[in-house]
Amino acid sequence: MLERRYAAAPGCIFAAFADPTLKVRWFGAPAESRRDRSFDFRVGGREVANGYSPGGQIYGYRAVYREIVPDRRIIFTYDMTLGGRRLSISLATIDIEPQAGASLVRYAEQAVFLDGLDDPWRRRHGTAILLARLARLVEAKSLK
Amino acid sequence: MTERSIAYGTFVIERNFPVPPARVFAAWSDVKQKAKWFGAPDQDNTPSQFDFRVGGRESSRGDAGGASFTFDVLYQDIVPDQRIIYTYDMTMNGARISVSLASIELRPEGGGTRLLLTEHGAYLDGLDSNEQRKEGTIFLINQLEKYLALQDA
Repeated sequence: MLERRYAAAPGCIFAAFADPTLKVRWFGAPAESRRDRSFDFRVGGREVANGYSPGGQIYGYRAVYREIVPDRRIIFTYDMTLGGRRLSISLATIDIEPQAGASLVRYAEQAVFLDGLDDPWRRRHGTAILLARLARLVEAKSLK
Repeated sequence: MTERSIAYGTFVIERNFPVPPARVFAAWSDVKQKAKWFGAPDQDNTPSQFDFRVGGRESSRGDAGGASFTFDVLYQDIVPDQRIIYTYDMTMNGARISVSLASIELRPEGGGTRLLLTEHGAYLDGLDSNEQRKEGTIFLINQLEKYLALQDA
């Protein structure tokens, strides 16, 4: 579980996950290594965000949205592959709690890591980096 | 307004069956076999959709205790006779009560099979719990055990 307070309203945090033009600014591979991408933000909808690994293999990310409560909650499941081999399958929940002029975001992930190809520590580290990028986006945006 | 909450939980069920892994795998992968044990004992559990392959979905609905439930699965990883990983969500009277990640591992053991079921869940808005889900799943695995024993007789 990663917990982080953002100096932005819940609607602003939610939009950073729900709006494809905002999400692309903080989530996924750097622009130069991006490959296929698709985004269907609704319950049952899928998201694909593939990119190239530093070694030139394809990192695959495929998610399905399972539960959405506007401005409050997003639950999705996803799997990751590297060069076509499945690394992990995850259940991720994002809980956005309104606080005076801010939001408390709790990101929890439960996962199965397959065949020794990845581990929870790396995933946690990667997710913390993403949440920091999200902070830069939403906190800058709310200053406008 | 609904009070929003998420409760997390994990449970593990282990069971030995006196039949080889291929037989246990078939009880999950063949819709006709699965309908015989996966669900309430007194109703038709045939899913409205059953697509047992990676990326495939399974859907069913049923009634229990005066409430109506839906069960929607996405198969995530399949290794024949060894491993099935899927995610699923459930609703009760239209409200989502849980989203789960389940893995079934099958290992040959002394001519039979050892099944290891691990489930991670997010239980929503106080509508369900890890304890209840574990109880319900033990009930299903008991039915699977009976089904395999009958098939073997």
